[in-house]
This record gives sequence, structure tokens and C-alpha cells, in this order.
Amino acid sequence: MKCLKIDNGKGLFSLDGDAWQQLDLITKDNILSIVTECLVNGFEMDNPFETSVHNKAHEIIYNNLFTKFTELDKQKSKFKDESEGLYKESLAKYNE
Amino acid sequence: MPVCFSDLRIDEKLNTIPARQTYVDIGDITLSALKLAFTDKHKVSLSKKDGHNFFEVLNNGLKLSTGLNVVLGERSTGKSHTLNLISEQNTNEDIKVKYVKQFSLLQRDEDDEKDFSKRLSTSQSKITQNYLKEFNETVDSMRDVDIDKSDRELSDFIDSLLNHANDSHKLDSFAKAKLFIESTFKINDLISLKQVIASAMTLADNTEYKHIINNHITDDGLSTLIVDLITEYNNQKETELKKSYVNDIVENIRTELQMHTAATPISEVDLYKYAFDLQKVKVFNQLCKNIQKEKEFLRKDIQGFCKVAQRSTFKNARDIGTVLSKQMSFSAAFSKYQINGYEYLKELRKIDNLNETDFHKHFVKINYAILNSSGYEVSGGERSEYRLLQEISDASQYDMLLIDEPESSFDNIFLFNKVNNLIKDMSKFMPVILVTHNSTVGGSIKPDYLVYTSKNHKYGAVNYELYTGHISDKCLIGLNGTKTDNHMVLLNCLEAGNEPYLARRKEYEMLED
Repeated sequence: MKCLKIDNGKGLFSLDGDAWQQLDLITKDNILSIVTECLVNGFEMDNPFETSVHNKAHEIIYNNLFTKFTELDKQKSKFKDESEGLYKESLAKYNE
Repeated sequence: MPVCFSDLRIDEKLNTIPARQTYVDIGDITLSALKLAFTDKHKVSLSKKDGHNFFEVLNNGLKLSTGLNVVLGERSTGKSHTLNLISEQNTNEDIKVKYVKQFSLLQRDEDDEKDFSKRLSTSQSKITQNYLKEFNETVDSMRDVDIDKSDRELSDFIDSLLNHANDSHKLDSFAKAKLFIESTFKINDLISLKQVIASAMTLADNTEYKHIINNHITDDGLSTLIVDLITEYNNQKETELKKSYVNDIVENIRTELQMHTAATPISEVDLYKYAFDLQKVKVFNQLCKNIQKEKEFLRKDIQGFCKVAQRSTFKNARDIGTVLSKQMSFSAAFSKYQINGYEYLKELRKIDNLNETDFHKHFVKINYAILNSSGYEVSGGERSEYRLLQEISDASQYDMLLIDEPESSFDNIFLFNKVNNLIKDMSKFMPVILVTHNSTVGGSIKPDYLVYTSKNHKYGAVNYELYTGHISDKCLIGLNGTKTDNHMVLLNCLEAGNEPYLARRKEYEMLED
């Protein structure tokens, strides 16, 4: 799912891939929704180093999100392992 | 056939070869005969003729009972020397010998009472530790409570919020971004869920009470419960990990936005933690008040004495300092001690070199006392009696008990009523070797075996002899085969000879008439 895009020099985000809002309106809950969604379906984003963001505030937010989401996308499996690591043996034992 | 130095481990530190031997009943000395003998306990014994009832205790061939042995002899005939030798030759890494030396338990000086009470507290430190366990955990849970810091954070939050509101008309694009004033997610440590999982697992793994547990919930039901709880845990854990990840992002963006604007950012405050900490302080203060109320929390009878443990409040700063052996000043802390627990804890935190793990010990004074049978604190003599009884009881942790003249400062009634019984009991589990001159101890204790030490001058040289035998034997036999009259030995050593014994008996008879 595409979650970040650059349009007319402005940074935009989407929670569902359809509706888009400007990045200065993004909240922590919006970021959490994107992380939850994209950990399953993958992160699609415009690269800010190919298309620049002119709005300075948007640029700060966009670059940070882009870097972090790229990192998370690469660590998807590690993230899953880490969250499910605990009680793995017990789960196997009592699932028998 | 004696197998010398049984179980001996040869190493560089070995100074004395122990007398210990094992006898095996075999014909030909072959490995197969030995192997066969070791499979039959009747073919293995501690002594040549007397099975397991006797063992060789010294390299010179001295054989003693595995029960109670009494060593008699006049002054300077080598009784203590013999005990020293036994201790020396039998102590090694496998065998521990408890040696209660003569006069070691007596009241020594005017500091005896203080010393006794200090030793008592030290020896009871496990009880103290156990009693204060929950309180210690509570003090530990106060570690991250800092109400002053929370107050400052709240005040900063309010100031920054008001400033931000005042500046709202002149906010630039950086300050207008929602993330500029965004707070971070509170991360849940999921402790309660983890505890529920652990409890469910305890139920599932318990075999002792399985029948009761299964009356209410089946094994399948328990397994499903655990699986459901773990699934819930994993889901929540995943969310918490995501939140913590988002917090990083939010903090980074917020910091960067703040660098580009003059607008006042809104400070973070954790109102939940603040409210919870205030509640913690309230409960903690109440707990400190309760624990400082005087109360006896343990009363236990020990060999006719009574051990009492009591908690109470510290009376002054010096009193608090006595808890640790280090010299520290508690005067500033004591000024808050009676105000409330949290204020006092804050003062304790300020004391240099005071270990955080010791904080709980400074909230309540724990006293131990030994009371006599009348319920009063023990006197000097009684302290010695208690020490002797404790030393003898403590011997159960050892393999052999040696006691040198316990009568040195105890009255006969105490020796007869308490010490004799205790020594007899101990000798059922381990060899006990008792040196005595006292007829109450030596005569009434009915030992399993006697050792008589004697000294003679022959050809200008001093010779020390050891004679042994049962108390009912007519003669005691020396290591060199010579004999001595047992009746005379007993009269000489315990009653100061035949004549004084008869005279004393006459006097007692006259008094009775």
C-alpha cells in the first residue's frame, strides 16, 4: 500500500491508499495506523531524494518518515520474530 | 583386612593422614573379592571386630565408639591434647569436626551483653531478611518515584502550554505541524498479562494438586486458556513494539521541527505516572507508619529458652546507624524519620555510600532477645548456657563433635537437665567425644565408651598413656596392652578419689537422716 507521496512539492500521507492528507496534519495515531498496515502489506513511498519536497516542514516530516519506514520495511521479519519470540516454546507445548 | 586411609584424596595441602580406615571381610586380596565385598554391607565395617560401632580415630590406633565417648584423666595428662589431635587428624574437606573448646563460651567482660545481642542479630539475619522481604520490595518499587521531578514536569507542561497558546497567532509552518506538539505513546510493560500467563502455567504444570485443579478446569481447558493468553500477549506486544517505534519517529520529527521555529514547544508530562506515584507515596507512608509500630513477630522455644523477635521504631540517628557496621551520619535523615516514610527515603538517598539495597533496613528496628524460663532476659551465666546449647545443636551440621570440659562454669542442674540430654541426642547421629572432670556429666551421662588419659614417669621420661573400655568393664586396656582398674579411674577422676567419695556419701546420708 502506498502511504507517502510527494505532490506539487508537498508531502502527503494516506491511511488507506486512497484518501490523502498533508503531512503537517499527521498525528502519532496516524503513524501507528500506517506502521500496522504496512508491516503486513509493505511500504510504498515516493523517494524524497528523487522528487523534492519544497515545504520545509513537510520535508522534515517526510524525510524522517521515509527513513524510518524504509528501515522497518527491511526489518519486517525481525519485528515479527521479536514480538512473537516470547513464550514460543510454551505456545508450542500447550498447543499440542 | 583394613583398607587404610579410606576415601583419602591425595593433594599438596594434605598435612596429616587421617586415621580413618574401612575393614572388608575377604579371603584372597583380589579386585573381584573386593568388588564382591562392597556389594554386601555386612562385609564392610569401620572396625576390625566391632562392626560399625567403633572406628579408628587416631593414627596411634585409638579406637572410639561411633556414639558417645567420655575422656577422663587427671590434670595435665593430655586430655585436651588428645582432643586437639583428634580434631587435627579428622578434619578434612569431607569431614567437618565441631570443637567446643574449654572456656570458649564463658562470659568474658562487660561487653558480653552487647556482643551477645549483636551476635544474636547477626545469626538471625535470615529471619530479619525474610520478615522484611515484602517491605524491601516495596522500598525498591519506590526507586523511580520522584515527586519533586514530577512537580517540575507538570509545572513546565502548564507554562509551555500557556506560552504556546499565547503565541498561536504567530505560529509558522513548522509549529503548525501537528507533530510539533504531539506527545509520545505510553508503553505498556504487560506485566499483569505476563503474571496471568505464569499463573496459568503454574496450574497446568502442578501435579501435587492436579485432582483439585481438574475438578474445576480440565487439562484441555487449561491449555486453551494458556494459548489464548499467549496469543493476546503477542498481539499486545506487537502493538507496544509499534508504539515504541512510532515514539522514536515522533520524537525525531518534533526535535527537528523545534530547531526551525521560535515557537514554544509543549513539554511532555506523564500524568498517569504522576497520579500513580502520588498514590504510591500515600500507601508507602501508611506502610512505614504501620511497620514502625512496636510488635513481636516471632516467639520460639529453644531448649528451655525463648527466642523473641520484635520490631520497633528507631529512637535516634545513632540508633539507625547501628543497623550497618559502617560509620554514617543519619542525623539529617532522622529529622524526617517520624514525619513520613517518603520524605525519609528522600533523605536516605542523599547519604553518600549508603547502598540502595540497604534502605529498607533503616525504616524499622528489629530486636532479638533470649528469655529464660521465667520470661526475663537472660543473665550473664544464662547467656553462656544458651551459647553452649546452641553450639552443641549447631553440631548437627558437622560429622563429629568434640567438647572440652563443658562444666567449667555451669551448675550441675543445668548440666544434668539440659546438656547431658542434648549431648546424648547428638551422639545418636555422630561420634561425640567429651572431656570432663565432673561426675554429673561423666557419671550420669552413661557413655558408650571411656578413654582414660594418664601420665607416668619411667626411666626419667614422661610417658602419656591412653586406656579405653566400656563403662561396665572391670579394667580399661591401654594402647600398649597394659590394664588399669576402671572403678579407681572413675572415682579418682570424677569424685576426687575413694576416701573423699565415701566421706561425701556419709555426709549426704547424715543430712538425709
